Formats: sequence, structure tokens, C-alpha cells
Amino acid sequence: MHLHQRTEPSRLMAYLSPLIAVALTLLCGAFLFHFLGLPADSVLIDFFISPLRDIYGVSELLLKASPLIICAAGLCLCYRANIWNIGAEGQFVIGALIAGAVALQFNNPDQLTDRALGLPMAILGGCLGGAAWAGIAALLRIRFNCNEILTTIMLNYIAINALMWAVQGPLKDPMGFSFPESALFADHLFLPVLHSDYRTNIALFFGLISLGALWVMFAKTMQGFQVSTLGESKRAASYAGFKTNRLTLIALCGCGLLAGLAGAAEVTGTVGQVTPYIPQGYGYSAIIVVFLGRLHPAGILFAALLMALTFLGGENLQIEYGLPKSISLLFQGMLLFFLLVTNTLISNRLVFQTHQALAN
Amino acid sequence: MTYNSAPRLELISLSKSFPKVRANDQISMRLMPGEIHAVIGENGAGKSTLMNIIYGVLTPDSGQIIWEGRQVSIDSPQKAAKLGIGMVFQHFCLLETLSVRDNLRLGLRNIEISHKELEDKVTALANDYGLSVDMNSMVADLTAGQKQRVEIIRCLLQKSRLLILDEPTSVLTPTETDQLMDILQKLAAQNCSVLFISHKLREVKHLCHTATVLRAGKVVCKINPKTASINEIAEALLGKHIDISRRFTAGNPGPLRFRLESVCTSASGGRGNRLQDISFDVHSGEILGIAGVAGNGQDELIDLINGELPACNGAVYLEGLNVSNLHPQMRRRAGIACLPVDRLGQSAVATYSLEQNYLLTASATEKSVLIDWKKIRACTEKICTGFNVVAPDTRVAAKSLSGGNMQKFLVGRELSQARKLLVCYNPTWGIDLGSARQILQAIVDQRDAGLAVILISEDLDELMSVSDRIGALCGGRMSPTAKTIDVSISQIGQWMTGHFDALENEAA
Repeated sequence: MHLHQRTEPSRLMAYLSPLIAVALTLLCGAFLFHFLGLPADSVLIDFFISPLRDIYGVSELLLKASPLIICAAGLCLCYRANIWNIGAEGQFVIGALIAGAVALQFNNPDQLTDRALGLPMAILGGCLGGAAWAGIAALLRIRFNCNEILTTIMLNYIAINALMWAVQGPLKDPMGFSFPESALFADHLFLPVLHSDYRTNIALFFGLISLGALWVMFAKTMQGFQVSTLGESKRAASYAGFKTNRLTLIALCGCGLLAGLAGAAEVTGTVGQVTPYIPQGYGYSAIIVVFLGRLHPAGILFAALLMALTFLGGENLQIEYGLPKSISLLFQGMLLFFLLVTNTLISNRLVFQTHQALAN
Repeated sequence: MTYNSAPRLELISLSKSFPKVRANDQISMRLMPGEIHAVIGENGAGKSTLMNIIYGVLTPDSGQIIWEGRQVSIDSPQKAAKLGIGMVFQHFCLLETLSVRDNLRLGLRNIEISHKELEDKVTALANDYGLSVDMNSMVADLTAGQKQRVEIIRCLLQKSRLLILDEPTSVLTPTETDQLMDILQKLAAQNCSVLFISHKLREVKHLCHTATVLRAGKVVCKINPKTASINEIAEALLGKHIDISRRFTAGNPGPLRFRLESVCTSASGGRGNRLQDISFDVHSGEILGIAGVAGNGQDELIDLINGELPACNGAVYLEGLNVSNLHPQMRRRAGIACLPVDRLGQSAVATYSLEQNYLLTASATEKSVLIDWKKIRACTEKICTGFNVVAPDTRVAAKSLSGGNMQKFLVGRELSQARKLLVCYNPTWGIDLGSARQILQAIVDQRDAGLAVILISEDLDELMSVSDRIGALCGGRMSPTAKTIDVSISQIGQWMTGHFDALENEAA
């Protein structure tokens, strides 16, 4: 068995490789469960099918997918520009923290201004907070040529610790029996839900709008063309006179803005207070979503749904079989691994040769 | 010339295929001791593949190699060196931070040799062939010609009886080229065989005893370059008749269009040369040729005029207006178009379609936020038809086009945008004579329509046949310029080596 380089990348494989990766992940998962002494078929059904049995399940899936879609849209902007932002998690956390802090200033339901301004201000604060957090990495990159992979990862830790500090200190609920949590938000600070029976809220629309904007940007606008040129060849971008520093700033801050929006939507959507449990790993999972979705808006949508399913399925397995929570991460990891493997097939092709043929 | 002995190297119907292309198809040739044998052909004719087979980098699919009467299989460059085959690559394989002596010793690491012996041998080579080189200097401090000599000495120390030189003169000044010719002739007189790969037909005619012409992987014919005319060789090479010795018509310069006034660039950025005190001008309807060996400030000059590289001193004027502080897009809007040498990295994006690559520089004059792809497609198609770019459609990736087609497309793109000044660097580098002629003709046509052109090139023949005025870059400095018809090749050679006052000396 050999790898032969294709003369042209295969279009078919570009679409097929994520599907093959999913299939291989399922296969490996089946083996895994089998050797754990569990009935592989029913575990897989509980992992991937049961969560979608009813409308409630689907609504939970959409709820989980929303922050993934928003973060992935932002990351896609960076990755198209060849900027390796690993910091969506930190930008998400800062977005949530700032949104929460702003929301708590407007927590009086009896005041008209609080009711009218609270939620928009919280969301806006979250967006700006995330953008500013990513802006730090952008400035370090532009001014000192710091590698953004390292700076964004380090900023993730700083962001999480800033959150811990805030819930232990300035944001701690004075009436909260000393738990490291903020006060609960009043009702007017929650994102509107789509239907009163389910938790899915308008964050889903934020995600779809982000994806739409991303598509328009790269397919139709000069700005998008400039960003992707920066990603394909920095030399060519500066030859054409594109302002590469400004594009770097736009890509990173754009991603920060969206990740911050996701964080704000999380804290005002499902959680309803600032707690130490806000970092759920959405920012990291979104990286897998972007690559699984081939850096394309439509692909990202499907990938985010699949990724959300691994979160839900993982929770299901915790309940049904007492498996650890990290089973979700294991599946996500396998998915990324197989995706990277199958991506090789886009520009290479497998050649099966018998020993006879080799000898000749 | 007659040979009495057995051939040194004989190739019998060698073939080598790659996916999609048969690079070498049943190639047979014979090389005698003491023969200088040229292998000529267009880009993609299979010259490099053949040389790589002889030097053991590639193995042939079929065919035989007979070395000094014995059939051999050369499966590695080490094996080739052991047999007595030496190769001087276009890009030298020397360690820049070591001295000449250390580099030579590294080449001989399998052979026991004392310092004294090495010294004696190198001195002997210097005396016999004029291969003089200072053993103590650092390779990094040597000129391209000197580095090439070190490579040749290294091959000779390994007792090579066949020297392969891949485009050896492309990095040399005219004087250095003459010296190399001398050395090779002396080597041949001492019974060493030489395989000389080149596309410079004048050199082949001057130096070689025999020439094998390759076209599309096949041997087309064998020519005696001493008796054949340049046009006959070109015809064999191309398979069609093109009068390549014809000079282009001269221009009729109009008013002053563009001027650099004592421009310097800072050394920061870390790459290449800094430009020092560069002043020259170019008129409308004029082609200013700039000669020079690669790496003497050409890239910096083009980046400077494009506006990517800031001038730390001096000023740049377009039609009397100071444009020094304008960024690249503003300069394009003002009518300056630049085409750097790096085709698929700087002047185009390899993975982009032709349409996207058109937009790359056309975006400077696009005012709207949204891209009108329909308009872009129409413009791209116009360039493709106007310049005979062979491509299935305008949406194919740039990297899938052949070098010549891509170059035609890029020159077409820049010509369509150059309203006042076109600056291009090696516009015909590595492409076939037919396409090269076409590209130069297009530039000349635009010049006749009033465009000012700065043509930077390493091909002196090209510069001499196209430019109205000529100068040279050396070490980031610009020579004086003079009318091409008034300058001799040797004069330009002096300029290329930094002797800018030679004009007065010659006159005196």
C-alpha cells in the first residue's frame, strides 16, 4: 500500500474525507466500548441517536450547537487568514465575564432603563471584551511578531483565572453564602427563547447570521478577498498593497468579537449568573468544528451539530453507563485525528500494489 | 574533431515517466573523452531529468547507461561521484560559513589526503586550468563565479572525468562567463568530458563541439554548433522558425516620466542588499534595461518602486510628483505596475484561480466593497485571449498553468494596468523562446504607445535586443546609464562588477 501524490487535489475526497473520518470514529468507538465490556451497538445508539429521539433532544442539540457555531465562524475568519488563533476559549470566557459584569449593573427589574438597556449592553460588552482580549494577541503579533499560537493559549489561562478571581471577589454575590458565584440575573437579562417549552434561544440566530456574514465576506467582498490572500501568501498580499497588519487585527478581533458574543449568549442564555463553570471547552471544540467543516460556512453548520451531539451523547453515557464525562472529548479527539488522516487523501491517493508488482 | 578512443558515456534509449508526463523518451546519446557536449532544449524538454538520471538522483524506467565501456546502474550521487561524474549545480552546494579549504575537505571526506597534498593539488589545478581561488576565504564572501570555481575544483579533486554543468552562466557576469569558457576548454583539452546544459545559444555555439537537442522528452537531432547558425539551432529547438536574432525596433522617447533621486533603503528586514544612492530616470516611450547578476538589489529595487519597501533617503517622482510616501495600491492607481520575479509567491498566489489572481492587483483600482466577479471574469478572459494563455478556463488554479503561460498571463495583467510605468524583473525567465519573444513584443508595443518601461533582467542578450537605454545594478548601487547602441557588452560587464567609472577610463 503506497501513497502517491495526485497531480491535482481531489474534489471528491475533499467532500468525502469528513464522512470517512466520522465513519472511522464510530468504528473505533465501537471497538472501544466492546473492549470495555459494553454492548457496542446500544452504547453507540445511546451516544448518537437517543439524544435526538424527541423535540426536546433536538432543542438541546441546537442550544449546544449555538456557541460552537458562533465561535467556529470567528475561528474560520482567522484560519482563512492563516492566523492560528487557539484562543476562542479565552475570548469566550472574557466575553461571558464582561457580559455578566455589565448585566449585574442592570439587574433591577423595576427600573425601565435596566429593562430596556440591560441585555443589549451585556451582549455589546461581551463582544467588545472578547474583541479586546483577542486584540492583545493581535498587537503582540503585529508589534513584536509574537507567535499567536502561544500568546492565545496563554491568554486562555489568564482569562480563566480572571474569571475565578472575579467570582471570588468583585462579582461574588453578597447574599450567596460565600459561594464563588455572582447574583442571579433578573428575567429581563435572559436571552429570549424560541419556544417557552424549550431552552433553545436566539443565540442560534446569532450563529446563523455569523455564518451568513462569513459566507458573504469571503465570496463577495474585497475585505474577505484580502484576508484570504493574507492566508494564502503574505508576500503576495503585501505586493498587492493589502495592509497586512490591519488584516491581522481585523481577523483576530473579528474572531474575538464572535467568541465574546458566544460567551455573552451563554451567560445570559443558559447559565443566568457568572459561575466558575462557564468554560465548557466550546472554544477548543470549535477548532475541530472549523476543520471538520472544511473552513466553509455550510460545513461548519453540520460539523457544529455533530460536535454538539458528542457533548449530549457523552452526558447520556454518563447517566446510562456511568462512563466518565471525558468520553465526549475522546470522541472529539478521535474525530480530529481521523480527519487529519483522511485529509491526506485529498492530495494523495492510495495505491494498492501486490508484491509481484513491486518486484517488477 | 575526431576521437580515437571508446566513448566515456553512452546512453541507450533511456526513458523516465512521471505521472501525466513522459519526461525522457528513448534518449540515446554518446559522449567522448575530451568532448564538450551541449544539451539544449526548452523548459520541460527533459534536460534536468536526464542530468538527474546521469548523476544518480533519479533512476530510469528503462534503458542502459554505459560508462567507459561497462554497463552501470547509477543509483545514487555517491555512486556517480565514485565513477568519476561530477555535477556543478545551478544553486551551489557549498557551506557558506566555512572556508574554501573546509568545503573542499568535506567533498573529499572519503579520501585520505594531507593538508600539504590538498594544497599542492589545488595549486596544480590553478596553474593548469586557471582555476585560482583563495583557500582561506569564507565561501560567503566569494562571488558567484568564485563559488562555481570551488565547485569545479571539488569535482576535479574527486577525479571527475565527466563534468555536468547545469545552466552555469546564468549567475555569471560576462567576464566570468569568458573565464569559465576558458577553463572548460582547457579541461576538455586534458581529456575531461563536459555536459553543458544551457539555453543560451550563443554560448553553446562558442564553446561546444556537439549539441543534442531535446524537445518534449525526445532527442530531436544532433547539431554541430560550430557550423550551424543560431537561427538554425533555435529552429531545431522550437520545431518552428522564429527569427530570434532580430533586434526589436528602437523607441522614440518622449518627456520624462519617472525618476529616482538618490534613493537609499535601510538594511533592516534582514534580506538581501540595501540600495544605496540610486538615481536614474526613464522617459515615456522608453525601455530602460537594468542588467546585473541576481541578488544585487533587483528585488529591493522593484519592491521600492512598488512601494512595499520604504526609502529611508531620497525621493521617487512620477511625472514630477513626489510619490515616495504612497503605498502600493495608491501607486497602482497613479499608474505604476510592478511585476516581481517570484511568479507563484509574490506576484501571484499559486492556489488562486486566474480570476482571483487578476483581482490581486486589479483590486487597487476597485472602489466598491463588493466584488463584481462577472466583470473580473471578462477582464481575465480578455488577457487570456490577448496573450494566448493556454488554460482550460479562467477558474483553474494558477499553479496548474505552465511557467510560460503563467508568465504571459502576469505580464498581460500588469500591462493592462500600467498606464504610466511598467517595472518587470526577468519577464521571460525560464520560458520558451517563442513565448519570450511574444512577451517582449507586447512590452515593446506598449512602449510605442507611450508607456515607460523599466526592464530588470539577468539575460544580457534580452536586454541588448529590447532596451533603449541600459545600466546595471551591483551591490545595491546603480551604474550610470547609456544608450544601448553606444555600449559594448564588456562595458556592461564592468558595470555589473561595480566598476562604474570605467566609461571614462575607456574613453580616455
